[in-house]
Amino acid sequence: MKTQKEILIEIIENICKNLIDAEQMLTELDSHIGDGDCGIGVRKGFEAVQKIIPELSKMEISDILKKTGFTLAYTIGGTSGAMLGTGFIELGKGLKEKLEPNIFDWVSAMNFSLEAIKRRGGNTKVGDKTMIDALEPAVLSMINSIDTNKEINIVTLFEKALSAAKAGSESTINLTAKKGRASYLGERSIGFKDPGSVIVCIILESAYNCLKNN
Amino acid sequence: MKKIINNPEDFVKEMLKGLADSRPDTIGYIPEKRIIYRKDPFTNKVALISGSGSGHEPDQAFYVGKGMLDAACAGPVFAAPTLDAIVDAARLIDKGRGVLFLVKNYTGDRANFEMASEMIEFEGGPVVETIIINDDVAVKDSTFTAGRRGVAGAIFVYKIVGAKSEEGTNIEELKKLAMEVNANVRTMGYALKSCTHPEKGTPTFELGPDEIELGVGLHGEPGRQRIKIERANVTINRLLESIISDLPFKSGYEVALMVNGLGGTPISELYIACSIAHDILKANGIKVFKTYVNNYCTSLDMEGCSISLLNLNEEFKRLLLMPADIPVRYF
Repeated sequence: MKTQKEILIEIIENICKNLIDAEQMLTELDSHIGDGDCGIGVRKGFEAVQKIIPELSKMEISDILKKTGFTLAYTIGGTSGAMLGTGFIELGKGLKEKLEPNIFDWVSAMNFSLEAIKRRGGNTKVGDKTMIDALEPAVLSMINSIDTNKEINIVTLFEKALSAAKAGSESTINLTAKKGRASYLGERSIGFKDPGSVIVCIILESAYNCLKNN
Repeated sequence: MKKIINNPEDFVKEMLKGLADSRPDTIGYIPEKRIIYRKDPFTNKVALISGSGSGHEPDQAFYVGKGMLDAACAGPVFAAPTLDAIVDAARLIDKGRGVLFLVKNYTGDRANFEMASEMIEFEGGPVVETIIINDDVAVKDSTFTAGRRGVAGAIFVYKIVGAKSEEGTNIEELKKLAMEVNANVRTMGYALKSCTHPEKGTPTFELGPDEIELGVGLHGEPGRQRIKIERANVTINRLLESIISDLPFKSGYEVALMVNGLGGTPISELYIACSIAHDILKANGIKVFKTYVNNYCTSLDMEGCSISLLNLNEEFKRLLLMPADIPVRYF
């Protein structure tokens, strides 16, 4: 049986692969409502993470996540780098000193990370047409899963969270952007999905697929 | 849009190259990271770094030099500098005494500087401290901030802390001094005309031909109130009333006065504002120790000005008068 750390590294590798493959799709989405560099930035960021996998494998869970976040923020740059980076860094901070975190630790760290991204973005809310539109429903679904079930299956927990994220991401199509560069477009940002929310879905889907296979 | 530009996307890169070309003796430039740094050798001092979106020149790359900043990180126009540039600048400029980040209160700038200091700590880099500058009295929250914005008062922070850092003062005391300056400076401005973002090509906000925006932000974000144009006496009085009552500045206080152009206003008009400000301060029993009139912190070609008052003590006065060898001097 694989250790938790081994599965986490596998998840990170899978996230890297899927987001690098999504370059064109993200660039296409961003060209409508941003400056069209989202896909390239994200690809560079996750290629940089791929390169440090051997280094990550020697670290504890909390530091693996922090180092991944710093690498993303450092390489992607801009607001998308800062927000994606913050997500991983704060997830790592939320798991500080937890060598073998349990499912409750993970969900509470996810919530900690969500709140940090919202703060860092200037009190971002659901409805602002950002990654939060996918991430917040996903985290709320996770919290709901651990609150209502005595026997928690992590695969089911992620499956539900992923479908909540996808619904949230779809809902951004009809929203007017209130944050970031897309907010300059005002109502013209309606009709396109927010790329940040799509990234959140890909990350959760990558994690879900790894967990399912383990 | 008529501007002295080649490609709009090269706006920041070419401006910074021009800055480096103008002072090859003191200014170093790393184009791919948009870092401007002090090239002349210095040791035994805490390094001061500031940074923000471009478009506010001379703030802040043009304040790099002995007696003021040691490096500046420039973002794209009106967008925060990136984490990687801030981290690289800190590693480059640290002389073993630590690095103090002087950051104006904007969400994007704070986010990137905060993450940079976390990353430096995680990777075991130089000691980093951060001070947030928030001198604008106009609005508490704006499109770009949570809490008060940082505007032209920041230049007093750079000047006073920069002069002190040359004396070998440690990072904790410099941070304390920076907070003390920030606590004693207040600013408010107004716009007569919007500005044109070089990559956008059109005004960033619309202001009618007979309208002014009181308390406008450095990126053209809305201020306190939009009113009909009026005599300069009346408007400058509105700004100073807001500033004076905020600290509050009392009769008998001694201040430094800054009349700051927003980029598109002639120097002549700034001196009219200066004349009005002097009269109002005199009537309030506030003594002006030194007056600064120029473009210090701008919004591209926006027309208008801001007024800053810094409540002085003997130490602030001494440090304000120390020389600063920065590129924006006339002679």
